[in-house]
Amino acid sequence: MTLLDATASAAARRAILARLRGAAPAQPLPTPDLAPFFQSPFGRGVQGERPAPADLIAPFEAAARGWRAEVLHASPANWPAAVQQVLQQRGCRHLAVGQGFPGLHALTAQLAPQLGHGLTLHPFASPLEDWKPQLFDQIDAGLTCAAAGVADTGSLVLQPGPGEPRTLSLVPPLHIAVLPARRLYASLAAAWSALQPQADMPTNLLLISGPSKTADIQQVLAFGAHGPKELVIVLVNDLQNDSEVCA
Amino acid sequence: MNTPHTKPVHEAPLTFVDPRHFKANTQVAVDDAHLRKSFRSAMDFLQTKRAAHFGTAQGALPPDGPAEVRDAKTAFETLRRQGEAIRQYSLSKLPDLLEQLDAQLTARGVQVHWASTPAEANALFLAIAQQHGARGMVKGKSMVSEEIELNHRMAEHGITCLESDMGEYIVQLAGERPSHIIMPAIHKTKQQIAELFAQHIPGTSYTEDVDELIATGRRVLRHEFRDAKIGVSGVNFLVAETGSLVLVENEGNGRMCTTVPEVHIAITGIEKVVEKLEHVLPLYALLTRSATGQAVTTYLNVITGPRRVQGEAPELDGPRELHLILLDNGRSQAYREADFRPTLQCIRCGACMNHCPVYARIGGLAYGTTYPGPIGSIISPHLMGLDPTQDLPTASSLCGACGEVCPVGIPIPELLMQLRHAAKHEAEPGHAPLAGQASARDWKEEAAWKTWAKLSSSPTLYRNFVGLAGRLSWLTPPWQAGWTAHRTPLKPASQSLRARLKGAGLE
Repeated sequence: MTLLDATASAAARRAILARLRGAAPAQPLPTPDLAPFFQSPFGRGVQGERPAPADLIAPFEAAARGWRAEVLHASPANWPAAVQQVLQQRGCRHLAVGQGFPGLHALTAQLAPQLGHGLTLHPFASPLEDWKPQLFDQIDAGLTCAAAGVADTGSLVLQPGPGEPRTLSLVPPLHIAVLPARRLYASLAAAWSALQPQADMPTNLLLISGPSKTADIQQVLAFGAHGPKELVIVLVNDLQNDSEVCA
Repeated sequence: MNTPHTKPVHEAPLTFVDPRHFKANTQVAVDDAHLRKSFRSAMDFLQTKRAAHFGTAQGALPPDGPAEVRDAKTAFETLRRQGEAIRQYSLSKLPDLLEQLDAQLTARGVQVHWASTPAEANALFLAIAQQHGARGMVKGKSMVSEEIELNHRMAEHGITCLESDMGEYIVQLAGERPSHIIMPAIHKTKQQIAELFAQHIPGTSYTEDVDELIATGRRVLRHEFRDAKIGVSGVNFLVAETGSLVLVENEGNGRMCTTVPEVHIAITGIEKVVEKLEHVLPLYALLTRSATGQAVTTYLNVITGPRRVQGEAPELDGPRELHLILLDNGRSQAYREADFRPTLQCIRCGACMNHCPVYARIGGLAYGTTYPGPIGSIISPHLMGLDPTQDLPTASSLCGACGEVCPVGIPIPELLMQLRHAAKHEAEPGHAPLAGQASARDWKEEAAWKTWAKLSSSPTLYRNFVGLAGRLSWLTPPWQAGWTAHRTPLKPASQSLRARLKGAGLE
């Protein structure tokens, strides 16, 4: 058995850094000024006034649909019913959800009549290893809450963590994401600038745009390559509310 | 020439790895009608998709052209300047950033390994696999793993590496290599893929339905993701300040490989690091639009450490162990000279190959290198030495399309010229030679040019020579090395231009 040779790696590290140091310029270039990017269409919404989320709903929906995501509109009161409808329409029997899902109570109450009668709610409560086969082979849908939505590209920003494991948005064939409208930003740059993930970097940060896809066979676009085959976004219009639905 | 460059003619499909056979390979590739058709349509497709965001690659801005085209070009230029500035800045402090990255990653529980050569990198993979008693690994797309020939080296030790990117999976089933860095199976038709699946995957019958083919791949590979102990991936960007690995993909196999198995091993080149998380934003905007003409990919996956199990709320998934292997493999040679350093600005979008008239005709396999096309012709000489790769920089008409579309402003045509020069000449005093420098040096050719220079710099000698050549033009051989392979022989005119003008009374 070969052992992981820390000395070899350390020697390579010294050698590589010495080669680079011997050639690196004495003075590094000045830090790039990203102002032109933030003033361009690609990085808009960071500088100046933030575009109103209400104005971003329609562009978000159009862009998300462009990636073949389905967008459903819901109110702060009826979003659990919207989730239920999505499950019913597709005949889903096993829904997985993180323990930290903020609307878990409201959802459980809504689904109560079905629970035990064809529908099971699986809280993601133990390490993946404990129920990997079930997650892979039995769960039809995973439910998450989005940390932000990006209007220009129709993308969701997800910040998985203990309360919302990463595989919920990856393994089940259907991914349902609840997105409060007040979390809409114009561009990815604007969303990141608001979330400031670099302040306390989560172990995983995701940008998701539509269901999994590939064009590897003769440039023909096919969906459901390895990740979810379907992405349904429940867009909750909470703009008139005092507090966020998914806080 | 020191090495045989036009030896055996290979049978299609081109599955070999040897840039020394480049010239012979190009003939095989050009003669393969299927291959040419596949590449032509794929390149047209990718060019059109990119143009929808950035305008076309051809020519300067038309001042009276359609406004949206002008706007797209202007937006591209702005974005490109940002991308170029970020890459140049990052390279200017590369050793510092690598040390910062190493410290940040280590603090977050990532095991960082360094490798100067492919052999060192493979030894690391092997040691990690053996430590875990793993007999297999499931792989996301990684060109650096192709560079070190990970699959073959692991197979020598009884460890199976299964490719999980659909294109890579197809290429691996066929026993071939990727022909494009973004779309690895671009050279295969759906009929060929249908045959491959029917032949190799039990319980699969022949179908040309792409959705069905993808569903088959999905079914087979999901078991692998579920059961594999080790997942392998490449990296698109490393962020020094936060200690993050950034991966860009559409399929979700990259997320599978980096999330589900107990151990995740990432491998990448030392040049991929940027300083700040926000530096990724312009580069990501450039990468996806340049590569496949998408404003975003399905997934942008930022990984900062393995599963966090300490504390009140332990995480429930993600790899328990995360390794990053930083590979040099000749990159520090490119870094050494300011002239060659821009080679390392590359973000591996593939736009240069998509727009290269040579690549579009011969495809990626003919190059015999991990990285084909224009970028491959400027990076491979550093990875493999100039001796085996000396023909690659000549595979260009210097039309400039590659430089024009490059999202980070790499002056590819200039670099091709510099490598042509380095292949033919010894290093200048005060400069360390490149590996294989001057390996294409040809004494006969040099003597011919020297003589020509001598003749041209003396009016008397030149007049006498031209006069003599004109009178003896009947002696010109009908066979003139490579020239007459596709052209009529060169013959000196019976009279020089000057003499003719004089005769016409025009001097």
